[in-house]
Amino acid sequence: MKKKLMSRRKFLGLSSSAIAGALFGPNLNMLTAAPTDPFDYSILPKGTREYIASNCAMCVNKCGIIGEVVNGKLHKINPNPRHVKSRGMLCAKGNAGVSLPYSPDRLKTPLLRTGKRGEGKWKEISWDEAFKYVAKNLADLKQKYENRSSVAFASTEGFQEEFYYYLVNSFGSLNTVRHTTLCLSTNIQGWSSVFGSFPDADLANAEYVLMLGSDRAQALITPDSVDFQRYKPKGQKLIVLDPRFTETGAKADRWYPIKPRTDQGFVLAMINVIISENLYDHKFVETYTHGFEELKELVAEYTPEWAEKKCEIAADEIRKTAREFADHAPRSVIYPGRRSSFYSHEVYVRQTFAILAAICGCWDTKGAVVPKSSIKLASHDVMFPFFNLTRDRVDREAVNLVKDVVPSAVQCPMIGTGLPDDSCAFLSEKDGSWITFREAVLQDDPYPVRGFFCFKQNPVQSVPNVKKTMKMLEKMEFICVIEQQMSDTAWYADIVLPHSTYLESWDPAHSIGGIWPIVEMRQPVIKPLFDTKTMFEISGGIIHEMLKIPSLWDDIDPVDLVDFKKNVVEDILDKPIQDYIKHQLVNHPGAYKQLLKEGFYTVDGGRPTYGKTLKPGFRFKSKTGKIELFNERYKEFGLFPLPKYCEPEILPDPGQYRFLVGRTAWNTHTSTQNNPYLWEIQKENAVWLNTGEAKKKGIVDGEYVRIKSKIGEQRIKAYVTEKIRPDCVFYVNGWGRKSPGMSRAYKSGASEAEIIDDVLDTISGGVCMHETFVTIKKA
Amino acid sequence: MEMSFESLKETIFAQSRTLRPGMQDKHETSAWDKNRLDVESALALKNIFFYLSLIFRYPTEQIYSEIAGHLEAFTDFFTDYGGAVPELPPIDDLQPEYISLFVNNQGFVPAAPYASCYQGDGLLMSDNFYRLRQIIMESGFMLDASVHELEDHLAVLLEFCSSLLNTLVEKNNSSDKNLMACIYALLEISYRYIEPLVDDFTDKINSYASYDFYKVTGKALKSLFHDADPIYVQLLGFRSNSTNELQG
Amino acid sequence: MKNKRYAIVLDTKKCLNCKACTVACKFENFVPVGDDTYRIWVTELPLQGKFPHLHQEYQTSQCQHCENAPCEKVCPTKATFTTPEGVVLVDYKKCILCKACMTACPYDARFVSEHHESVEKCTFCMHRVSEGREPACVETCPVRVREFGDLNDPNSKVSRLLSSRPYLQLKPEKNTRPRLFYVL
Repeated sequence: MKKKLMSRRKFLGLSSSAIAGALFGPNLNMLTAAPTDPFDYSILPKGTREYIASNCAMCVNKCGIIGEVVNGKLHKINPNPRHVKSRGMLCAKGNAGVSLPYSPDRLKTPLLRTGKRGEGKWKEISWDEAFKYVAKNLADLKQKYENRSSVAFASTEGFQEEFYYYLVNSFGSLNTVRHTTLCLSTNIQGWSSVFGSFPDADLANAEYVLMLGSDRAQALITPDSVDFQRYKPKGQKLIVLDPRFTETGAKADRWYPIKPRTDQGFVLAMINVIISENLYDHKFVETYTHGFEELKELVAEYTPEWAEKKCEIAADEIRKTAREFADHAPRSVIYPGRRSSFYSHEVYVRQTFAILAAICGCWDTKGAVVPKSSIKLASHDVMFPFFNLTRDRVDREAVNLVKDVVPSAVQCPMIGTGLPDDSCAFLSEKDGSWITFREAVLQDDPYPVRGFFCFKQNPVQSVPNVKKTMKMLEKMEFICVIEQQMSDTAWYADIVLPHSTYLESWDPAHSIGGIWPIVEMRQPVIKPLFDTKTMFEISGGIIHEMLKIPSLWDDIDPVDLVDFKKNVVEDILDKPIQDYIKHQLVNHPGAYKQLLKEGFYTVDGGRPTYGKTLKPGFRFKSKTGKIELFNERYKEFGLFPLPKYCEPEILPDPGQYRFLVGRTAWNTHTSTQNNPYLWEIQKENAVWLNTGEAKKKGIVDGEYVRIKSKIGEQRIKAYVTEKIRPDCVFYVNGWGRKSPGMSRAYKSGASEAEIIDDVLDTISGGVCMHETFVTIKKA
Repeated sequence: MEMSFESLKETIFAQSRTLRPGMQDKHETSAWDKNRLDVESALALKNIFFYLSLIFRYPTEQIYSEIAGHLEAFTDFFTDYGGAVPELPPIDDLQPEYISLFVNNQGFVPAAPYASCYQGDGLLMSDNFYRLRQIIMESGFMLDASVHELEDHLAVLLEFCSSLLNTLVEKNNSSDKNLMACIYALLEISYRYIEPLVDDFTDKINSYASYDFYKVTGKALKSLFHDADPIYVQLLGFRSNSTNELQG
Repeated sequence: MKNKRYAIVLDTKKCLNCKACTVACKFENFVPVGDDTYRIWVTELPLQGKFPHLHQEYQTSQCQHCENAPCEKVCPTKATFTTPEGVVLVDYKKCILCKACMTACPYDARFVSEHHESVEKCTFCMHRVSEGREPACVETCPVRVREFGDLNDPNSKVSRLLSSRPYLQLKPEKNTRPRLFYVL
């Protein structure tokens, strides 16, 4: 009764005031009168189901999807059963992509920082204001430092990345830095040193598969993760070498718990056996390779008995594996895999893998390691202006960079003998080297870098040694992040530009090389929910504002500017993106229609072609034009031309464990942990610790421990298991986040960026994530 | 036999959460008795809804000055429902406060101002969303093309309720058969979209707010919607089984 | 024309433990996020052996669509029923949430759904099957652990698998006669 009387008093209070007083100003309505004639029902759902083909973007694989849109809302993402690359599958992440556009946490409108960096004070601005602001800052930095490379541009792979490079090239910085050196740069470099390119493995036809350090059952790669169980030929043997008993190991005919950092020794001993027992492919070696005699001489000492001491795998097992591999050749695969950011000598490890494939003739033939084919798309003949005020990359221009700039990163006594000490020998022009780049920026050597753009990369979480990354960001006078969510890096930006999700945008056609080459494209599965844009539109918007600032164009030939305005701005950026796509496909009649219908396009029904590098007259991309078992360029650079065994020079102190990092099938690096449908599978990560070791320390399964390295410490749950060697520990990446807002991942588990030391591979510039030693104690 | 308020509410909750065909058809038989509307109260509530709608929008300079300019007129309302008159921080503080609570915080949004987020899996555009869009359209409204928001944003919902009350008052003397549909819409928005949001929404504001402004206004919003039954009974002149004494 | 007899045959030795099926099922069938709400699941069976000789398998499972369904027997309102094809379904409108079926089910395959305001479970995605599509879990799996089909059709994948490989069924001692078959 009392409550009701209260209500009454309140209600009367309500009517007595506020009636006349509230004469609100004009133009305040968000709602407007709906047109009545004709009544526009277009924004209402059609009451039907539509199936729209596109491609996934939850990780790098770009699997085929068909969005099932019910009444205008994406209800489910189905796999495209006809898709040549993904073979009709869609993983947990791909399925959970449905929640991406509908996440209330996503960025919705451009935000401008108003407080201190990282303080979290923002105001909303319009896209016009945002474009102006970015262009002005670019102009200011260019004026102040008289060097366009004073602004750096970080990004990661994705279909829209090519439009990011429109912005980069229109400004004229050479400092771009991509994810590659965090992932597979050593793998690309090592295999290319032998075959001139980075190949794929024909798991669907191989009789014998040797996988070292690849967890294909969890770190999913299409088509490999499909083929290795679903399409494997009957009787195919799978041999897995991994310090952990992974889901992949569980599928193996034999699992060898190899001592970390000794994979090269195992494979060198295999080569030793295959050569000494005369099991190699004489004809192949003679026809296609260069340097066999030198190789033979090198591996003479690498006997299985020698390797047993390194790898802690019995010599007989190594011998058996070598014989089997040679026996099944050429249908034997030594699996290239993907991420190889493991050890400082990793390029030589991958070179060794490639050499094993080469001497057994397991190359470019059915069931072997096969160079990627690709479908050629028409490119736009875009000429960006030549800017006078552009200096070379920081991570290349620095003299004696490795010795002087990254001493902390180079802890390997091999430096000077097998690894270069002046600069990264084979740095990719576009990818750069994250660790060297960051170090050069921190030391202002050779020049200051004070502007930072970041497109869909999250270096605060993904680059080892987070403290240094934070210091690098502090040095910046301007930070612009283009993202879908407020990532740890976006939080420290000056301006954050919201990017549409892959389900809301048109993405250009993209040729994906492989044994089964395809072209893909994305079309919107649903209408954008918020005021977000794609990189195509963002680059166009910023470039238009840049054109209004004369000082940004005073170091180029005026003729270049005229051409640029016509060819880049008017002919591409001002036109609909569909025109761009149609031009890409101009040599493939019917491809555009096919892409709209199916999301992918193939030539010849997507059948593989084998043997194009084995035809007479083919030149491999090497100095001799042959498959180089002995790399002539490495010799010129003072590197090992042959894969000499590299001892693990950085050794653990007593009581230390080598730290390993990896992935699960339900998260992609740092981008998915907050997705409710993935979070419910795994709510925090846990550190794998061998049962015997745990017993010694009195640590029980499920209790919290402290894991400590030279650079940091984390608290994490222990997973006490037989599934890992006693000398190493492991956890999956992407947890223990800085953002309290990654509500689900925040302080849940441990971050790898907080403990991994920044060790560098000085050949490709890659990071070495498994060269960190840790101690573990009860929390 | 005249429908009681309780049975009217029941009808609303019994309706499907998904799309329905032609809302007007369903209610056109129940004509509206013009004498029943408490016009003064309707106007007051209309203004309160609209003022709350302004409060839960991003405070641009224009919105901020509207909020500041009319705060005094709502002193009684805030005192009664929010327990205090909200203190309006300077615009340079209110804007970041709004964003950090309702738009984007470090990786998340603490108090998402969307009705969908308080239903089902907490994501946007849940099952009820298209029904809402339909109700808005059939009531003769749509989002202005310049507004990049979803229809279930709290500010839109409140403005919609305000507009519905306005329609009721304006057409009160006509014999427009759609007035009953208007009442259905008002009650459905209030009870199925706003009311389920207010408790969690205000709890979140209380945990994350740096200033009192949204705490007090949030509390007022919450108490107002907890008090919705007697208010609507009196305002719409329905017979009620439990709140009749308010008529006295 | 004989009736169809639907079944799922699982080759769990291929399972990657990737959880694609469980997430696909949640979206397909409006299954709410939550540890207690699931129609299908993947279990890591106990690790066997001692380091370094280890063995482990992963087992996907769901409602067994028993021919002799304990859940159907205990349902007081006949909400749970079996279709002519042998698919055990719940009529959400008839369910009174007494949960007797949840207790009766030997496979823990049922839960209370807020979305349907009913006890629910795997339906073999009959809404998809009736359109000629496969159940969501079958379709999305990278390695094709499950095959769905008609036991009365000797040429269906399920029939051919069962005639060519030995199989087992879960909890045979309960005499439930499941329509899920695990090939060895």
